[in-house]
Amino acid sequence: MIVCVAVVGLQNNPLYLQSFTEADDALKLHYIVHCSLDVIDERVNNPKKTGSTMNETFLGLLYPTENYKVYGYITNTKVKFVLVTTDLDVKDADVRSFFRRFHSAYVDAVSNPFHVTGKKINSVFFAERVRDIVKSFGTNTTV
Amino acid sequence: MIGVGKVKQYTNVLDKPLSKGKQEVSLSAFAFLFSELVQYNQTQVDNIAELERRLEDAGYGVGVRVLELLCHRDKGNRRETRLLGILSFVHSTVWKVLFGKVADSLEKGTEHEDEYMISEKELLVNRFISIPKDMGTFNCGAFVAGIVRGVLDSAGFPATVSAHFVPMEGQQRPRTTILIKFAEEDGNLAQREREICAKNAAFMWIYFRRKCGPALLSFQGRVVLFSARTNGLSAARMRERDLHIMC
Repeated sequence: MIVCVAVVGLQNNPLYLQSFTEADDALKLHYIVHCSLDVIDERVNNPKKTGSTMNETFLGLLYPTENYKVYGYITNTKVKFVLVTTDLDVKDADVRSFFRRFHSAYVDAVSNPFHVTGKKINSVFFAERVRDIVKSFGTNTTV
Repeated sequence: MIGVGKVKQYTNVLDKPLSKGKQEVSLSAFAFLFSELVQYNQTQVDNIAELERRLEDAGYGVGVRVLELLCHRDKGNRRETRLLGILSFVHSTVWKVLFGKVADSLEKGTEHEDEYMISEKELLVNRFISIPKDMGTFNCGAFVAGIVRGVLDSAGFPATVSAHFVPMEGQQRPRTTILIKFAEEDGNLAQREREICAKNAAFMWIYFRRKCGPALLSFQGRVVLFSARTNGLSAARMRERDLHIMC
């Protein structure tokens, strides 16, 4: 079950933050996303080995906290996507396809000529598409 | 999605699903739009430099979005972290998507370490434009310069980009050159490139050494050529530059 998705911009400013549970405290999820930014920075600036992993966009499992798993993804423009989930047995391929669809929704939102780069994403369509993607996460593995 | 079975016959044309549409825009539509953009900006400014700056800013927005779109659509899961990589990306992929062909050439400047030039016999945006004599060296290619600046800036390589006319003998119209000057302070860019090259070289060195022990001297040349990409750059300039980096 996905509890939170976030889009964080170039200077680590939040561009879009959405949580999907009523029970949990939204602030705690924001805090988790904030902590994961450090992990992303460290992964990006010190690649574990040179070669193929230096240029990957999907960063994988960032770190597991008490009941959550946090996944990261970075685009070519240093915009980061963070996904917080409570599932214990999440398949890697599922997360990758989730990020791919999320990236495509993000590109569509940014292509809006009225969107100012570096400011919050205010598009209603983007929010709807994200909700659809989150709802269909894990239930089927279609592209 | 239309299934792979038999095609349904639609009685009413309104019931047919929308076609995907062509991936191209007509040149005349774009030329009209661009000429209107230039004319609109002309009424708002007092001098040429301001007009050029406005066109460049218009192109900047396009460049940022083009980078996002192309990285997601065409590049799959790769990110560009190398200077040569991003330059050849601009030179081939971006040009192909925007103008339907790759740029004519990509060259490295000889005076300064961090200057590069993309030249084109005739920019698509300039095709239906002729500059009056009293506007001096104004070039509507400033729009394209803005696009390139947008792409480089959002990829993490800040640069100043400008468009110039370069007269060529034997040709009626001058060639257009987009000059890219990278703006890293204190030579950080060259330093970063050196580090990445050194890391690559060290990796290759260990690999080669394990494979075949002696003949170390001939490695250096091969390692250098191996570790840098050679898309579009003239080979002689490349080798000289990379040997310089290795020393």
